[in-house]
Amino acid sequence: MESLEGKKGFPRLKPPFPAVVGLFGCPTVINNVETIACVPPIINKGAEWYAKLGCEKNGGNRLFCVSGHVVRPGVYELPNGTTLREIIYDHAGGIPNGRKLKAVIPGGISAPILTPDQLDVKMDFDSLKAIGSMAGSGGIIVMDDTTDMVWAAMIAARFFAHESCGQCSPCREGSGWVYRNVKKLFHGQAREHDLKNLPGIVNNIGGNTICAFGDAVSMSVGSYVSKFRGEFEAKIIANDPKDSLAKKGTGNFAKSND
Amino acid sequence: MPNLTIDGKLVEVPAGTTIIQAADKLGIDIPRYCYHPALPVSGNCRICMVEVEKSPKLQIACYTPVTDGMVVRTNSPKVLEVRKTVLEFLLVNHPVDCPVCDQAGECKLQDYYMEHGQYDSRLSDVKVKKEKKAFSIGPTVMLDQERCILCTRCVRFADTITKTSEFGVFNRGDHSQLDIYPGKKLDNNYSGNVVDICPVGALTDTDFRFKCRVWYLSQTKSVCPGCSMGCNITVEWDKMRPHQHKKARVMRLKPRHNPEVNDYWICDKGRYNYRFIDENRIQHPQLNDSIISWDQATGIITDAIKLLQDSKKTSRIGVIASAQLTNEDLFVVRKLFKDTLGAQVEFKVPEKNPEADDFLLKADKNPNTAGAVKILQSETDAAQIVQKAKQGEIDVLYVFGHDLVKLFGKDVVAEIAKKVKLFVYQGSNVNETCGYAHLNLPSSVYAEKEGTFTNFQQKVQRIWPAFLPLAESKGDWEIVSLLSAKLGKPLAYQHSNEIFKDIAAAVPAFSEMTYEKISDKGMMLKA
Repeated sequence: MESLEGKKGFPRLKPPFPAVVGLFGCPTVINNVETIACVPPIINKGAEWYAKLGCEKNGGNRLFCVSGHVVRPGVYELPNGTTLREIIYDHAGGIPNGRKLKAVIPGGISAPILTPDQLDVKMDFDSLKAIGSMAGSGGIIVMDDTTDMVWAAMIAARFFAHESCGQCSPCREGSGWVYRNVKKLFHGQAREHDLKNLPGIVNNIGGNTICAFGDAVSMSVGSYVSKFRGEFEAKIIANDPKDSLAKKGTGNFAKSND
Repeated sequence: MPNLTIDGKLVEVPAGTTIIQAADKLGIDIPRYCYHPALPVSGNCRICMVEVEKSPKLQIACYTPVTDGMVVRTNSPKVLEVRKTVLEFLLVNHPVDCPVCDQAGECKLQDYYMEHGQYDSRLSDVKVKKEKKAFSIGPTVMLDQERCILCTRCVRFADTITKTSEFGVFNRGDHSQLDIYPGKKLDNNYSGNVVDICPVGALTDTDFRFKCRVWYLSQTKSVCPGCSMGCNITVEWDKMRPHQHKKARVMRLKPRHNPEVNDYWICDKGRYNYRFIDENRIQHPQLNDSIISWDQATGIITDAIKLLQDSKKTSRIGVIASAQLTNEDLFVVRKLFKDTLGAQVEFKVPEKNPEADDFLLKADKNPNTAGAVKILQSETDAAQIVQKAKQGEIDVLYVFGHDLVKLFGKDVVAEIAKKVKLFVYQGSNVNETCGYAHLNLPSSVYAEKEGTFTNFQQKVQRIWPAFLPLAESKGDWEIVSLLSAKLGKPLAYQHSNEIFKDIAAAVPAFSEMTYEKISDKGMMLKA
């Protein structure tokens, strides 16, 4: 809406919501193509028919875009409530080359990552919310056991840092900070305190921003660290040179508190 | 009108008020960077977040309207924690170059860090490099992009107050940087205000940079003498470190908030009009080329006036007073010259090509024209006194502050100087007219005076003395009362307050006014 009005593409302060004050100050309904595509069949065949397609409280079909380490990546239209396992193994043909599944993002890059023990989750809004993730855009990204989760986190963080519009301070400064931090970890240049600080920095972004993008940074990158902490720890440089210098007595460094 | 509770204090405010406005009314200080009461709300800095009961997330106080029965907490642990984290984020790419930053001492990053931050630094990463540091964006302002916290106050100021739209934020994410649009310059007459509203050291004043650390400055409330708008200002001065700035006392002028006059702003013409306070001053009473004492100076005038009194020709005394003088000065001038001696007293002179706009800059370049009209009760052009002097009809010409050479030309003034018996110039600064006057008397400038000005709205406003008059200079009314004593008709005033009491008694428009009632917000003349 801001772009259509000739302004910089920044989210607006809400309320008022677009349905009340939207484009050029007029009430505006904004929906994505997937939603609008559902309208003709609902009109033709009735709401009850549509609701029956899905599961309780989450009627209808959804489009799942499966990508990553699967045999048949693609867009699948399936009823709400289909399990994640079914989508990956039955529809998308499972993991290629006999490898094992390591992690899945169930609803686009912003959705918290899931581990193999969570594969039986029903892919609808309520069920995913219940296990701490979200249905989001329906973009399913599958990662097999060759995937370096620190690398994956770095790619996600890079995306967020690049996409942050820069309007409000926590997201503008925080997304870049998180990316630089994870990048350091990936390249083996991080120290213990870098990993120790990471969850805190990530959490400070969410909930404090104008739009939900800040929450996405928090949820997404935060989930990699909490679920695959071991992999992050393995990347840390064992000794802080400051400490070793201090021990050897060759430097004049004060001992840091952490 | 909704009632709400902030930190346990109940307050009633009009509907549509935001939480931060209600808190300001209660005197509860919520930290802010992007919020400014005179600018549209932007909500981007996120430091003003407060806890609102029944709301799951913290809300920004600058944007959230109050509702009846709302319960707000501005100091809960959750709120304090968020302030800390927002500060930390704002410092991620900030250079923390406080030791070389001119904003240090009046920087909101420093202030809030001391109030709400004070965490152990986690900022060990490399910072994002931005292009422009110490970059001149116009005649008055320097830009430092890496110090900028992108609050967009300056952007909104240029968009909504001056409507010149020089500023924009370019690029995205943490590469965002504040800049001037390509090919533009920040050269509007209100450019200095962006320095005032910038909460950090991103926009600094080219004129003030590195002149003085702000903690050495003392502040005195005053009113800008630059035009009839009468913008409220603060004179900021330093007398402790004269070696650092060639003995100049005034370091800068800042606008002082007055919603009825200038709001938060002043124009650049007024802002940078302070050098005359310390430079090019007349320091001693001077007869032609020789320095004399005040006693000798008043003696010379007294002799000239007594001669005219003896021959009952005091109408041959011509006084050109000035609307640069305070009401108090003018009243004493009127009492001695007009009421006691019966001299001709005028103050109006023609203005030459005055600049003006429809905001704060007025064509009348005098701060006290409205007061002069009421006190001297005359609106005749002073040019007729000059004309008379030229024709030899004036024996004593007494000029207050006007540069007659600039107004009437060299030839006219040279001729006057020959025709009149005594040509007195009483003013603060040396100008061409001084060279023609027989007697020059040093008077103090507005920053050395206590008194009142009346602006174009008929609002009487007080000025306070920042420091003592320079060298031997004296306040205009003090000089006139010295003269009155010498003439044997003493106007025994000790303080401007006493004069003002007499003004209130003698001039109907000022009746019932006192300094206390005028205070620092001003008071309207009676119609």
